[in-house]
Amino acid sequence: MSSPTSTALAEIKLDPDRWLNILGAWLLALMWILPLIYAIWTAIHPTEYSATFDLSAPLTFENFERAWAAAPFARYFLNTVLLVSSILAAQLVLCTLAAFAFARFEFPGKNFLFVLVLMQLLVMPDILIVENYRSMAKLGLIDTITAIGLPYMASGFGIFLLRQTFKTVPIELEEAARVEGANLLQILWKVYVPLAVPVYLAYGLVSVSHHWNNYLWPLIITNSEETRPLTVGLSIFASVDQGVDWSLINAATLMTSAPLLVAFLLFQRQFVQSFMRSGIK
Amino acid sequence: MKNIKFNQVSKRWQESVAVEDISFDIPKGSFTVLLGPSGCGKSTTLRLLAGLESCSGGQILIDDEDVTQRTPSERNLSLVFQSYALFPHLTVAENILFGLKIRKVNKTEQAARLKRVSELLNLHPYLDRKPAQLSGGQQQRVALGRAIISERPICLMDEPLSNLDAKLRHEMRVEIRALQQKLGITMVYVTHDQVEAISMADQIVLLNNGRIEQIGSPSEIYSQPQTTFVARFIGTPPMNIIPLQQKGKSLAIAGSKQQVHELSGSMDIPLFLGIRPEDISIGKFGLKAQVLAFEFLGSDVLVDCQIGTEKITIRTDNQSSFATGETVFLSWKDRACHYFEQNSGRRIDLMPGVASQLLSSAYE
Amino acid sequence: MLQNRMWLYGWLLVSPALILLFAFTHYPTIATLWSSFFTTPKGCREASFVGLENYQRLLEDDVFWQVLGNNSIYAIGTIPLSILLALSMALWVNGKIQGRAFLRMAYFTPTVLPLIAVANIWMFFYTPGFGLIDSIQGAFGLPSQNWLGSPDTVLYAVMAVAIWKEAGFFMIFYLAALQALPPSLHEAGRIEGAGRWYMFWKITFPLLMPTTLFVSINAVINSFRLIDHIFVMTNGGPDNASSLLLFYIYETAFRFWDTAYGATLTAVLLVILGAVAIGQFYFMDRKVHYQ
Repeated sequence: MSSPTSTALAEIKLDPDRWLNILGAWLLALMWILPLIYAIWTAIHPTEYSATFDLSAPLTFENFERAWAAAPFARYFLNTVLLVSSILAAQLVLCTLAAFAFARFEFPGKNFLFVLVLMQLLVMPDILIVENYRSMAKLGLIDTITAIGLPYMASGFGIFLLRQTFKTVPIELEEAARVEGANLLQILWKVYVPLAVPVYLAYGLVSVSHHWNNYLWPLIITNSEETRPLTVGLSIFASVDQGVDWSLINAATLMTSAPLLVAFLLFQRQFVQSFMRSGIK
Repeated sequence: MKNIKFNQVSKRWQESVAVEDISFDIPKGSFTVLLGPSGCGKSTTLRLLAGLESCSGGQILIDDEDVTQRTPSERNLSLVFQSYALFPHLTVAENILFGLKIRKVNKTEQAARLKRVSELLNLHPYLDRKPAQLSGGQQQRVALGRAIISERPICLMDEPLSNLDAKLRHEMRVEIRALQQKLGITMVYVTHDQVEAISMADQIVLLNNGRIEQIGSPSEIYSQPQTTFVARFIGTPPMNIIPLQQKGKSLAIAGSKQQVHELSGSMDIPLFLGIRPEDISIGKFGLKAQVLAFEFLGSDVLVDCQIGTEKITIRTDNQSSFATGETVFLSWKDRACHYFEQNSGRRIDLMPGVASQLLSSAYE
Repeated sequence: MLQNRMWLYGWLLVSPALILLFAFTHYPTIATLWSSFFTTPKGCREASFVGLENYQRLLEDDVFWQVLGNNSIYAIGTIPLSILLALSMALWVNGKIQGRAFLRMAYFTPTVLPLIAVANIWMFFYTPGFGLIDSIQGAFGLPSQNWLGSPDTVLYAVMAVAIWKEAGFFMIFYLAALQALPPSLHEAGRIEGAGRWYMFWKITFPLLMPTTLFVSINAVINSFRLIDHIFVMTNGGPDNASSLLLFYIYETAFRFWDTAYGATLTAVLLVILGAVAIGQFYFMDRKVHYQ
């Protein structure tokens, strides 16, 4: 038997299995990043070069300018930011309160209510478009940003995630705070919430990227420039106005995804870790 | 300084009883230890006093005021947890100041008290650290700091030393006791460790199965155990509890004919003899016994012997070694003997010649 | 007294969230089933009770069956492949591989991009004659193909986008699970002289079962939910060849304004998701051992 170190060395040098793995991993990565690279390529070059890859092609920012001018993207951005932040704010408050009760209170009907909460993990508002549209019509909220956000503000996932987190907080910490005279809200705010900060961050990132990207429900419920979020605005821009000017469409596409993409590239580790954390049940 | 009174306090959960009808007093400024094996109800008793559990029955009085229905913070006491319960997201200073901030004590007062407490506990170099960056002993000090900065007259501690190693535990014992005396706090301290109890307490409340076995000073509990449970719980190795056989007025160790006591009259209650291992000496005369095992402990030796059918452990500083099977002679002083009634486990004081009278009065 | 106050606080804390949950998840679920027994209200005409008539229509609706078939192919085609890719990605990125940070970024990027936006990019790839795929095919002398225009290929073209979008997302869950595995397991295996494949199949894979189950359920739900790219790329066409259930619901309810039939279709979707939930329970109990 050879020693473990020499086996490990041999593995690195000779193992074809390993080389195949590296090759596979890189090929897949290139395939996965290709659409983005392609979009960037066409967006920063004149239209003539959108299908010919010539490294000497002149760079231009014109596509972005034209796209920005061709549709009210500023308004769409504002709408999306309003939408995403109001959803997140409501989610944080509502989910925190409910999760606290589910984690640390005993009250009749608790288990049944929690099952109702979990139901939303399966039956998401995304598929209840017909009846939710009807409800919004009754409430007179059609074509408002409120209507886009309302079905998502009480998040079953958020309640579940925070409840799990709160349950891991040692009960002694709460008791120590109670002995010192902290009331319920102080206990929640000074003990539970600070200890759950990483989970809030994770949930926030997931929520923001989800609602930034959401399309179907906003498409249904909005019908004016003043309320449309970026995704809907982009789809209208791409389908109606521009024919097949790929440079323009790709510039617009990049523009709408840019904030998330830039945030992702800057905070890659946190992003990945956040998604990971939110996935651990 | 405040005195505390438990008046027939009980705590029951659905089917189980944690604490049953306990009554005792804790004098002002005393160091009282609630002692007992795990599950005896000592922590529950402390939590009832803290207000973290509600009583199922009875009253708790602090300075003659009934506090049974009050919330923890209304009882004006501080609490040190077994796990320390330090807030991991706060620095040492913030942890210590937590209660003062909740109660909105003014900033200069906060700073002054923090300075005093951190100097008292040697914590000033660590004030900006997080609990996770501290050693176990330092974390313990932070927990102490949080308890004493409130300057509340009563301090409760729930097994505060159980997470420390033996050396540190000894140091902290001395430190906590000194602190309590210096600040004149009424201290209620829960532990399962009899050494802690004996070395720190003014008063020990020994609990078993949710009931009080005995209340007394450490020396009373050691020298006058009221039950076989107390007798065996205090002292290492535990007291020998040996069943006795009666033949007329003579009491002998079960399975042997060697008399250990002579009664003044006859009595038909089966008895145990209790004798501490350290009270037995091995010599040239006394009861004949066979050595079963021998263990060298450094300053002492432990010898297990057999008399009749019973096993007796002896702890002696006699440095000679003993071989298994060797015959030795055991002797002890009369006042080292404790007698217990076999059925109830309760102490019976047998005085030579007057034992039977005492017994008859004890059974009225 | 104290207990009653705790009850009250508990209810007060959960009520805002539960009222919203009830209004926009539970009520519409029930209302969907209710509406499926009525006609669509039109103008001044009220909805009237028609019993199972909508379901009768469903059974006779060829488009519905086609869409259901499409969605089955879509689910069966995307779920295993995206899970397999996700697992491979996670194993690669979790090991000591050259360029690990880049690989992880590349795999995960599609997750943060809006599906509606990436659909635009993909659409260009598929463009006949001019698009990237055709250009590559042309370089190998293969004929040009209209991927999105032909009923035979359109569904697969759409599925490719879904796999591309989802694999990186699922990778994260596997990565989290892999990092939570105690290294001592692998060390023990290596001391026993187990090969890499043996280790994977006998140790890693079984320990990842809970994650696989979790990811699978997510994937099933997503296969009914993620349809944004259809709007941009195909609009369900040609001839409904790329239409999925939710897309058909959208068309029925919001293009033809037949809300009653839309509700009936939604009811079918709810039943399918209910079956998934029951299946989840069954699997949880039987096959998966959580530590």
